[in-house]
Amino acid sequence: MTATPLAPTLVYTVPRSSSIRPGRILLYVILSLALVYYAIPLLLVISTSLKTAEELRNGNIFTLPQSLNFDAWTKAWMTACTGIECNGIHGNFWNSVEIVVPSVILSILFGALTGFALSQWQSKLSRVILLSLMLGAFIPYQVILYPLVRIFSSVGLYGTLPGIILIHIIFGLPYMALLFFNFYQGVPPELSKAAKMDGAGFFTIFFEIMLPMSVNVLVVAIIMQATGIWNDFLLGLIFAGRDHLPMTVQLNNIVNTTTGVKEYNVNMAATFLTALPPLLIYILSGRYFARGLAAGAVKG
Amino acid sequence: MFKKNLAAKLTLVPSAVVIAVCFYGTILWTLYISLTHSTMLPNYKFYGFGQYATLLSMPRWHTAFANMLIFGSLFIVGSLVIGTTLAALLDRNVKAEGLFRVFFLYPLSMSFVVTGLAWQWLLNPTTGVEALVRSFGWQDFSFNWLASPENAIYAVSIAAIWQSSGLVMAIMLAGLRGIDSDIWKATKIDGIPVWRSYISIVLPMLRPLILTCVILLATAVVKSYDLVVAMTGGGPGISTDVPGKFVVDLLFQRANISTAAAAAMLMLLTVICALSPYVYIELKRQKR
Amino acid sequence: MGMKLSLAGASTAIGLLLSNQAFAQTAEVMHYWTSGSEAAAIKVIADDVAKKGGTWKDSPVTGYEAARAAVLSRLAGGDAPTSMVVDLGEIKPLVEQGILAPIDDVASTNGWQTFFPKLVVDNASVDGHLYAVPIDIGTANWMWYSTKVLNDVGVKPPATWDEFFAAADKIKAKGYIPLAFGGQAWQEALVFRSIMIATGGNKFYTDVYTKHDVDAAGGPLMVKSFETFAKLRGYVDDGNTNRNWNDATNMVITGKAAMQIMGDWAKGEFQAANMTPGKDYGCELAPGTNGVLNIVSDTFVFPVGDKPEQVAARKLLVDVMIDPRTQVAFNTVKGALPPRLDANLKDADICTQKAAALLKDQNALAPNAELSFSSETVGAIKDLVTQFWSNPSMTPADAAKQYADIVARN
Repeated sequence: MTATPLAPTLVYTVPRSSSIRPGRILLYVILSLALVYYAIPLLLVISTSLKTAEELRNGNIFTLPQSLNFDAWTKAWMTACTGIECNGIHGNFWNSVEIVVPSVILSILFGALTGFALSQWQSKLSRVILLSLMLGAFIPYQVILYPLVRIFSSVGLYGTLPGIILIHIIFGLPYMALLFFNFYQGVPPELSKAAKMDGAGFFTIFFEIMLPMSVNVLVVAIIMQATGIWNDFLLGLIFAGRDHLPMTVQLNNIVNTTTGVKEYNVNMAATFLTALPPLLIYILSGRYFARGLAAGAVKG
Repeated sequence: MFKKNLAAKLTLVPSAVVIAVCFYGTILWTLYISLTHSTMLPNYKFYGFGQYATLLSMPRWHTAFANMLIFGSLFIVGSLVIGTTLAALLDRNVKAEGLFRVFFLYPLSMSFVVTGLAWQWLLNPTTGVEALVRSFGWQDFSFNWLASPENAIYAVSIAAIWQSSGLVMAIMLAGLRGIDSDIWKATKIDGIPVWRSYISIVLPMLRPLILTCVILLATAVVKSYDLVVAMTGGGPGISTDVPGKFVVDLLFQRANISTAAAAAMLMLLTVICALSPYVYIELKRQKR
Repeated sequence: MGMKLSLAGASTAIGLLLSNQAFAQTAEVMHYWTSGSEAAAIKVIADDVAKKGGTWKDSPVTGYEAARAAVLSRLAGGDAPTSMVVDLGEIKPLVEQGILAPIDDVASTNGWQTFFPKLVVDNASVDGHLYAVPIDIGTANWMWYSTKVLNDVGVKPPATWDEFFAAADKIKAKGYIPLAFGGQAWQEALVFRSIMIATGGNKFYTDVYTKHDVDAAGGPLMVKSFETFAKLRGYVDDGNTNRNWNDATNMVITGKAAMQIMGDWAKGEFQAANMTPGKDYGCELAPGTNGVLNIVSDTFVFPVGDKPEQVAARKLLVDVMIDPRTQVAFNTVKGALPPRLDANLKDADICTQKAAALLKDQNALAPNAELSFSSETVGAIKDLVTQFWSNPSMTPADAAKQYADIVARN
C-alpha cells in the first residue's frame, strides 16, 4: 500500500489523550484490567517477601504484611544459606554480569549478521538454512546436554567462561537470526542496492546502514536475550565451571530445597532481587519504543 | 555465480558449522540413543525400536502428548491474541505507556519456580481466590481448576500466557512503531475506523513478526518444565504432564535416557509436522 | 659433588612430597543440603575435615533433576568431584556403570561389614567391596500430630488405621482437617508405603519390595492397601493438589489439621516454629507401622580416579565421614539417624530415640523404593499411586493388578 501525496494543508496528529471519547475510556479500562491480571502475582510475591515467618505461618496469602519488613530481603542478599556458605545470593552477581554482557552482545551480533546474510542471499537454500536453524530450538535441551558436554570438553571449553558464552550464542542463534531476518526482509531492497552501487561492501552495509536502522528490533532482541541469559540456570550450572557460576545457581539452592525448611519470604525476596536487572532493562528500554525512530530512516 | 553474495555466504559458515555440530550432531546422537537400551549413561549397543514401543505403551506419554497439543494451542493463540491486543492498545498514545509496558513485561523476568508457586497459591481452592471470594460471602463460588484432573491444564495455560504474552506485546509493539505514519494518515483520509485498520491493514503487514512470535511460543511449549513443576507437579495424578517434563523425569529421575531420547524424537517430529507448512508458506510469502 | 646432588635431590623430593600433601587434601563435594539445619549439618563434616588439615570445596546443587544433571555432566566432562551425595539405592547402578571407586582399602573402614544395618551394608557394597559411606538414615513413616487439636477433639493418636478413621470422623465433626496432605506423587507414594506396611506388616512389604513377589504385589493385601488409601480421600482437604510437604506440616503447626504422615525431616519445621516434641506436637510411627522403619539413606560416594591428590582427598573424607562421632554430630543437627550401629545417641530428641532402638533389628527395616527397584520401576509405581489417588474411577483391584504388572517388569 503506497502512501498518496498529501495536500499540504492536512496535518495528521495522533489523537490527544485529552479528548475523552468512549473509545479512550474503553481503552484504559481494558488496559487497567490487564494490569490487574499481570500484577497480582507480583503483588503476592512482594507481599510474601515482606512478611515474617510468623505471619506466613498464621495468615493466608492475601493478608497484608504488618509492616515494610525488609529482613527477608537482606537475608536473601547477604545471609541465606546456599550450602556451607551462608552469604545469600550476592556472591555470584558479578559472575552473572560477566556471562550476560558478552553473551547478549555476541549472540545478537551473530544473529543479526546471520539474519542479514540470509536476507541478502535470496534463494530457496537460504530459507532452508533458516528453517533448519529453527529445528535446533525444538528439542528439550536437557536431552542433548550429555553430547554437548562431551563436545565442549573435547575442545577444552567445558567449565570455562568462553564456553558458557558460546553456549548462549549457540542457543540464541535460531531466535536472533529469525528476528533479524524478518526485519531485514521488510527493508526495501533499494537501500542496499543503492549502497552497493556506491561501492559499499557487505559488512559496511551491515554496520553503517542496517544496524542503526534496527533500533526497534535491537531493543526487542536485548530484552529477550538479557532476560533469557540472566535467568538461565541449568546451562550456567553445567557449562560455566565452578568459578563462574551465575547468581541463579545460588537462587536455586535457596529456593529449591526438597527436605529442608522452606522460608517463603526469603525465597520470594531472592527471586525478586534476581529479577531486578532485567526489570531495569525493560524500564530503560522505554524510549526506544517511540514511534518513528526507525520509520524515518527508511524514507530518508 | 558463486561470487555473488560471497560475503553473505561466508558469514554464514560459522553458523552453519555450529548448527551442524551442536544441533544436528546432537540430534543425531539423540536419535541413535533412542535406538539403544541406555539407562543412566549412554550404552551404544544397538537395540532397535523397542524404546518407541515402550513409550507408546506408557499412559503418561499419551497424556503428555495430548497436553502438548491442547496446552500448546491455547498458549500460542492466547499469548498471540492478548499480546497483540495489548500492543495495539498501547500503540494508541496512552498516558503512562511506560508503566503499562513494564508491568506487562515483568512476568518474563521472574523465575517461574517462584511465580509458579504464587499462581499455585492463587488457584488453590483452600488458599487462593476461591477461598477469598467465599470469605466475602459467595459460598457457592468455585474455582478449583487446579484440583480437577480435567481442568488443571487450563489453569496452567493461564499462568503460561501470563508469562509470555508480555514478550509478544513487546515484539508487536516494536513492529507497530515501525509502521510508516503515512499509512495511518491514509487510513484517516479514507475514513477507516481505527480497529478496522489494525485488523485489515496493519497486522497483515506484521506477518513476519507474527511468525517470529509463533515460533518463540512454540519452542516455549516444547520446553515447558519449570512452569508445570511449580504449579502442579504434573498432577493431579498425571493430568498436567507435558512432554518437556516427561523427558526430564525420564532422563534424570528414572535414569532412562533412551526412552527420553525416543520421546524427544517424537516431539521433534510432531513439531516439524505441525509447524513446517505454516513456516514455509510464511517464508515464501516474504520473497522479495 | 655427589653428596650435594643427592642432598639437593632429597630436599626436592621432600619438597615435592610436602607440596603434594598440601595439594592432596582439597576435597570437592557435591551435595544438596542448603537450607538451615541441613547446611549446618554438612558444615559439621566440613569442619571436621578442616580440623584434619583438609580443605573442603563446597558444590551444592538442590533440586533432584539439576543435581543429577550437574553430576552426570561433571562425569561426562572429565571433571569429577572428590565425592558426591547419592541415595543408598543408586550405588549399585553407579558401580555397574564403572563410575565409583571402592573405599574399603582405606584403613578406617576395616570391619565395615559390621558397622551398619545389614540392609545398608548390602546396598552400599558390590561384590564384597564397599563403595559408599552412609551418612544418615531417614525414616519416612512418621505421624506428626497437633496435641492441641487431638486434645480438643478428645482422641488419642491412632495406632491402627481403624483407630485412625474413627478418630478422623470425630476430628472432622469438630471442624478440623483430619490429615494434612500434600498431593505430590512422592508424598502420595510415601503415605501408600506406610499403608502397605500397616496392612500386611513388614513381611508383606518386603515380599513386594525386596523379593519382588508378583503374587503378593497383586494379591488381596495390596487390594486392601488401595482400599484404605482410597478411604483416605475423604479425610483430606480439597486444596491438597501439589501442596508442598511443608505447607501441609504448617497446617498441623497452626492447628488447622490434626495429623500428617511424613518423614523425619518434618521435625525441622516444628523446631523452626519453636514447638517442643511431646508438648506442642507429637511424633509416633504411622498407624499400623509400629516396629517398622521405612528407611531412606543418603550416602557419600567417590568417583573413580587414581591421581594421588584425589586418592588422598578421598581417604581424608572417608576417615571423617565413617567416624561414629561425626555421624552423631551430623545427625543431631539434621534430625535423622546415624547409620553406624555403635553410635552414641543418648542426647538425641525423643522422636529420634523412638526409632533408634529399631535400627538394630534387621526385620524392622523396610527399604525405600529406590533401594528395591530400578529407577524406572520406582517412577512407574509413583505414577500408578498418584493416578489412583486423583482418579476415583480406578478400582483397588485394577490398581493392584497394575502394581503386579509393574513389579513383574522390573
